[in-house]
Amino acid sequence: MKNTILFGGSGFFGPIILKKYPNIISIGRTKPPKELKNKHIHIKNLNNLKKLDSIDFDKVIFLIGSSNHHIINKNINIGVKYNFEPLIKIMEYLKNRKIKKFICFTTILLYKNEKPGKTVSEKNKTDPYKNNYVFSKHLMEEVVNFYKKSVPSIVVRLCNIYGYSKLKRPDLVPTIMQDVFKKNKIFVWNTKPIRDFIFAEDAADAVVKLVNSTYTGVVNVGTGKSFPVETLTSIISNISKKKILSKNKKVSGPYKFLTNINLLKKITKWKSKYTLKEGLVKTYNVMKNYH
Amino acid sequence: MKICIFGGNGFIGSNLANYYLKNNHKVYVYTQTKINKDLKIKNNFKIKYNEKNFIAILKKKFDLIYFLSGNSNQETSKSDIYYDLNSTFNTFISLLESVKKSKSKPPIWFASSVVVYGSNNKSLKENFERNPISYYALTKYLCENAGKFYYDNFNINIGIMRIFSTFGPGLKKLVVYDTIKKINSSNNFKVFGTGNEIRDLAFIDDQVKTITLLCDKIKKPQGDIYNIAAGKPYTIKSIVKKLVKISKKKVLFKFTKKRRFFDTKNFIANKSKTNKIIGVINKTPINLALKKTYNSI
Repeated sequence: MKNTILFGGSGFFGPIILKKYPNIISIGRTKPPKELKNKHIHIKNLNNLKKLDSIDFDKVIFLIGSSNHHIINKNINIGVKYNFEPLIKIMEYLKNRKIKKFICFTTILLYKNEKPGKTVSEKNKTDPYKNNYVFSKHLMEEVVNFYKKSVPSIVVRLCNIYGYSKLKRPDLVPTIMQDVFKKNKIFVWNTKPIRDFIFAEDAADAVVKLVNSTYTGVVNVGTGKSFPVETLTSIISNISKKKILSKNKKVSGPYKFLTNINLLKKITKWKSKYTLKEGLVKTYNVMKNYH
Repeated sequence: MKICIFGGNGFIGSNLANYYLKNNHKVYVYTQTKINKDLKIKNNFKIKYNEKNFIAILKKKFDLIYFLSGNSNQETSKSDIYYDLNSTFNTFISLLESVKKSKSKPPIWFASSVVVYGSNNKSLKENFERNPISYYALTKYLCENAGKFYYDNFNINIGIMRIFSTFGPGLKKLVVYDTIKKINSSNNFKVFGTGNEIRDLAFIDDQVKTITLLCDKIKKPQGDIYNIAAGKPYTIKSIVKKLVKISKKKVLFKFTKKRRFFDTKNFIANKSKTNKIIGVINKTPINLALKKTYNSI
């Protein structure tokens, strides 16, 4: 059996996949966290991937990119530089290799969400022009589509993923978790939005099942269950015994988002193992050791 | 009007520039490659396409901008995607970013191409699914997307021209030029393809008429796409026969029956959306258009 390689092993999601699947080879300029046992191949950048010629692989998990919508929404060039250009570079290399599957990640925010309250499946319309971040992800999907004949691919439209990380991240859960160990009063923008929160370890299983499937195309990855941010903050508040307050600020995304994950289930028979509470408890307990 | 043409040294760009100059407009032409010295355009500049230079140019407060810059040939981009991305996509994004930051926000018309449709033998409507199969086509398609994005989010008026096969004096590539060259140099030659491919071949004067009328009628384009074409398809075989007849030479020709990966069988334009705006223009008869082109080479 040929290997699976993963780009982006030093980010947020990469180390979680690598830890659960030690046979996956990490590729990148930065090593994954040292406690991981995975083989790592150092490359300076994506401009020269000749080093990969000698590696026997046929599946690729590509996590290079930026999910920092705060920064990208201020500057489209960052979206082009970090999301669009790396994908072109890897596709240009992979088109000459015999690849069984390539997976990359865009966002659930691409959907139009015409009828809030109704679940959103892959068949729903998209609105790729709503902001810089979403547009950069749309460009990624167009690139994947262009190379689909030479590089069979899956585009994962990922829901709100959360989990433990040593990195400073702009997302909701890591921000709260970082704050609970440092501050007494924690603030979030708004506790009303309803989102599909998926624990990173569950997402890792889904991704590995997908990379081993025969499916190509777009697929939603989430739990299929949505909760208000309030539920999440009250769980973290109970574990940490810290007050988490809402600033009641306007949020940029939709207020209610429900993901249809029937396609994911059909392809992979995947089920989430962690409830929201279990995932947050694990996140808290792991991150407690970082502080 | 004060008009800016990025890519105004190219075939369509230079014809547009000359049209506006003849009609007493003020024209500024910019290129990122080289100035065509045969063109008698006073304000013709070679610049580096970046935000700093674009912002400086925008201070001239143009009434209309055309963006025809970048690679214009599928053949040259077949092995290097970065050539297209750097010369077309990145520079177009730089221009749009500059307009976003500038006080002056003239309407911008981007020259896309029929090739974004990919393989589709139907009469092509602007709302058809796109299926770019070459780097050149992908880049044009991404630029179309960028146009829509900047209109939606930053209220920059952008129009997209999907330009079909265009020929005429001055163009030194594609089937009409290649065939004339072969007729003039050999009495037994080969033409690429099967001859049964259908192209919506438009004469440059008619394309300029269509483009200028469209931009005149739509003062504030809203990210929409318009086919720029003759609206009359011909087989390549019939075009070659017409050229041979015009030449009055006794020549034999046959088709190679070969295809490049990006070659499509037919490109037939549906012009109803464009015609609804500009009406039906009086086109140059095909024989006259081919004769003018033949005589120019």
